[in-house]
This record gives sequence, structure tokens and C-alpha cells, in this order.
Amino acid sequence: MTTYLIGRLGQGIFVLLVVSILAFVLLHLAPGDPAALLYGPDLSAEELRAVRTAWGLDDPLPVQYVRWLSRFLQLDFGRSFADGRPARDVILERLPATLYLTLSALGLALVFGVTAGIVSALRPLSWLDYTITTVSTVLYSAPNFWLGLLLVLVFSVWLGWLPSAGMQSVRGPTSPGDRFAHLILPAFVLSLREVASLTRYTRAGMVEVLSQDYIRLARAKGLPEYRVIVDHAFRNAALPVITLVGLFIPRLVGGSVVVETLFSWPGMGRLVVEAAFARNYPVLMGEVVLVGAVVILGSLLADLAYGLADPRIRYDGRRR
Amino acid sequence: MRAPTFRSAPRTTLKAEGDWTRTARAFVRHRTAFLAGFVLGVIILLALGAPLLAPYPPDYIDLGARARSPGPDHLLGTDRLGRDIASRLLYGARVSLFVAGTAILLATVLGTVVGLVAGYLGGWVDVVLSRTVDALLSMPTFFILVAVQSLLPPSVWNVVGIIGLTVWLGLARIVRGQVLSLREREFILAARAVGASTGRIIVRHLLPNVAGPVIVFATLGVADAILIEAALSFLGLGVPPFEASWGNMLTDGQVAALSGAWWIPLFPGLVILITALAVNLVGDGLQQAVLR
Repeated sequence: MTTYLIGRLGQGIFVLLVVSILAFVLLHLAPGDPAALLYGPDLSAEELRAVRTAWGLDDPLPVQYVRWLSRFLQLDFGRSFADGRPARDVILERLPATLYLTLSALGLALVFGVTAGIVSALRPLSWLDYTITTVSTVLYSAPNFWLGLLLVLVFSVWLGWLPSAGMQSVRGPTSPGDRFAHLILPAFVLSLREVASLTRYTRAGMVEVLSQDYIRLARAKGLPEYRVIVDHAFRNAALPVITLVGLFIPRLVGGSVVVETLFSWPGMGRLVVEAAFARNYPVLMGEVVLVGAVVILGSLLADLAYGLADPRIRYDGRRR
Repeated sequence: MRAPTFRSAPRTTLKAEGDWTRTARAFVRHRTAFLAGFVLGVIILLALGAPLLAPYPPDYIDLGARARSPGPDHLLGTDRLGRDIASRLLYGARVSLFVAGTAILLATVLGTVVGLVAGYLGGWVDVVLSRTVDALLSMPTFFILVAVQSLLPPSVWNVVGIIGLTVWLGLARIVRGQVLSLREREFILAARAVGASTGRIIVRHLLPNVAGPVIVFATLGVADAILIEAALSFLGLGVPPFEASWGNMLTDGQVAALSGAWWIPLFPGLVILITALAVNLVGDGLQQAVLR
């Protein structure tokens, strides 16, 4: 177990290093001078040169990278080009919003996807099954931000029931209800694609498990149907679903870029777009590596959960 | 193009299922994939015929008819600059389909080569390649995509490149898996016994045998590529804003939606949905026919 963990962590760190080098090189080869972008016409060529020297932008790339890395390891991501604040603070203050959004979406996806998958599998080939399968195929093929736009149009513009942007009302008191109302549309939109694929996988898993002999046995010995479904069938069908969750984490975090932009959600996804447009290197770099780290950690946790849920899985080759 | 023949996969029977039901199912599946292929063909024809079919040039601005709802002059309405939405959709199809198609071509070549090499050579080559693929698959690619794309000058080719470089990972994994089992088979052993070179075995013996899954995956990948292009363009980081693409049209749609002009976001999204759906259904059909 420990060996496995260390191996996985080592792999993760290696990936992060490679990603950070690639991103660093690309960022610095890209056109556009951050000093000029920030101060633009306000400064003379002389003053711009001074700024570039002060920021170390004139040093050779490897030197800049090593400097960045050694500071990064001390949790110093440099200063945001946008306002001079530490990039770490700029990024970390956006982290809770993104976690709140992605975890809510993950919860929604699990509840809706698993339920729809089970319902679908209980009566295969029925009209309900066809409806669920069709809807999930359509959802899987639709751009989620477009569905989001339409939902905003209906629920915010026409009906006026739900807010269309932000995490809470700008004016007036912010109650838990107000925060919840702001969460509904973004979390729902972010979850849609994962709901669709969870439905498909749960259905496939359940259909297979339900045809097994031990299910027939459970029914034959007179267990109530709900116990057959929940205790016997779903527990076994749930295993592949847990591995999927590990895959969902990078996808949800990636999806948050578009959804947060659409709903003006003050999270890391929107920050990366803002930083990208402003060529805010310290923030971009810090964010790419930090998000990578969070995601790798999340996938690792999902892997471990898989091992706990399935006693047949051992990570160390020894019997427990 | 020859219409592909779809065979229904032998299924693990869920319940006692009569022969008629099974035949009906096979028929429906066949029909769905076939119909989807037809829809896709029509979309491609419409894109090719855009100059003949579009009632207006894509960039023609009618200042007197801004944000006009659908009507006889503008079948699908106009956007906020007064450009005809139907015409822009037709021209946008060329850009969006070109980006998706070319990106997938790139991804297919890359994924197949990496998968073949890693699977057949094995050893440290396999370790390095597979670990890299696994690692990249666990990264939130869209973050990196946005970061990188924002630094390149806006151009259609950059979008093609960046999407192509993102979607090849899954394919490499699948091809490698196939090769791992193929390389133990007798015909590969026979080829090796008569002294065929590694290159020859890979190209003449392995490649034809992985072609099926490659085609399936490439087809399904086109749908992903269409959606990624739309998302990137929506963020303003995709196809240059002055070119009509489906994703670009949705950028304008966001502001329009808030003012209640439903037709501006509705139609481009609907076209993306229909195209991606058709591609996915064709892919599913191919999968059943090929992968059995």
C-alpha cells in the first residue's frame, strides 16, 4: 500500500514538473511583453526596460525557470502582473469557489446519474429506458455552456426565478438561500455531461449484474426487491462507477473554465481565462500547476476509495 | 462513399428476448446509425455548398436589421450586428467541420503511431509512452488548453493543432491495448519467424488489425473536437472572432440571451448539438459493427 502510494505520488510529481516546464517554455516564447501589456503607453522604453529587469524577464529561460521553481516550492508564486499582489493569494482566494462548484456538480452527477442508470437498467428496453438513454445521449452531444445559456434565458431572463451570475447577490443581505439560488444553475450545467456518462455506465453495470446467478438467488430466497437492487446489485455495479469518479475530477475542473466564465463565477476557471488574456504569467503558471496538483490528488483518492470498496483489489500484492 | 453496413452486436441477453424483438432492435440500431450518417452527409453538403445556398454573405452587416427575430427576410433572424444567422451558420459549418476533421486527423495519426510503437516494442519505450499518456489524461486539459491557446496568435491552424494534441491520448491507449494482445498471436510470430523487420510488422501486420477501433475512435473523437472548438471559441480563444464559426456565434449569443434575443444563441447551439449527436450515433453504430 505504502509503496503504491509513493509510486503514484512520485508519478504525479514527475508529471507536474513536466507540465510546468512545458507551460513555462510556451508562456515565455509567446508573443506579448507583460511589462508592456501592464503599463502599455504609460511608460517610456527606458522605464519598460527597468521594469523588465526588476521582474527578471531578461534572464535566460532556464534561469527564470529554476528561480520560479525554487520559489514555487516555498509557496511563493511571484507577484500577479495585474495588481502586484502575491499570485498565491490571488489564486488561493479563488480555490474555495471552484471546489464548492465542482463538488456540488459531482454530487448532482452522482445522484442523478446513478438514479437514472438504475431506473433504466431495471426495465431494459422499456419506453422509460429508451427515454433515459436518448436524453443522456443528447446531453452528451450538447455543448454544456449552450444549455446553460438557454437555462439562463428561461429561468433568469423570462421567469426571473434564478440569478444568472455570481456567487451571491451584490446588493442586499446574503442568506444561505441566496447563495444556494446562485449555485443551482452553474452546478447543474457543470454536472450535465457527467450525468450523461454516469447514466450510461451505471446502466451497463447494472444490466450485467442483474443477470447474475446471485441476484436470482437473492430473489428466490424472498428478499424484498429494493434490497436486491440496493444491497446486492448496486454494490457490485458501483465499483466501475467509483473509478469513473476519478476521471470526472479532471473533467469537472476543466469544465469549470467555461461554466465559471458563463456564470461569472469567481473561481479558478474564470481566473485562468482572465490571466490568459492579460498574459499574467505568475498567475497562469501557479494556477496550471496548482490545479494539476489538486486533480492528481483527487484521482489518487478515488483510486484508494476503489481499493477500499472492492476487497479483490490489492495495491501491494499481499493478502490483507 | 460506400454506406457502411452495420451488424448488431451479439448481446448478452438481459431477459428472455424473442427473436422478433432482437431483429427489431438490430433494425432500429441499424436505422439510427444510418439515419445519423445521412444527417451528417447533409450537413457536410450544406457546408460545401455554403456560397451557393447562403442568402447573404457571412459578414454582410445590415445595420437596419440588427437582432431581428426570425422572419421572411432572415429565416433564422439576425445577430446583434445585423448579420444573417442562417448564412453565418452555413459558412461557420465549413470552419467548424474543417477544424474538427483536421484536428482528428492529426490526433489519429499521433495516437495510432504512439499506440503501435508502445504496444509492440514494449520495454522502457512502453513504460515512458504509457506513463506519459496516463499522466496527461489525469490533467485538467482544458486549463492547459486555455493557457496555451491564449498565448498563440489567433489562427484556425492553432486551434486545429491544440485540439489534435489533446484528443490523441485515449486513442493511443486503445491501440496499445489491442497491440498487446495481437503481438502474441501466431501471425505475428510467423511474420517474425520469416524475418520481417519491426517496421514491416507494425505497418503491414498490426496496423490493418487495429484499423477498426481506430476508425471508431476517430469518429467519436470528431464530436469531442466539435465541442472543444465551440467551447474555446466561446471563450474568445478559438477560431479568430472575425471568422464565422459555430462557437464564435455563441459568444455573441451570451449577451444576446440576457436581453431576451433567444434566436441568437439557440440556432448555433442546435446545429452543434445535431452534428455532434449525428457523429456520436454513427460512431456507436460503427462500434457495434466493428468491435463486435
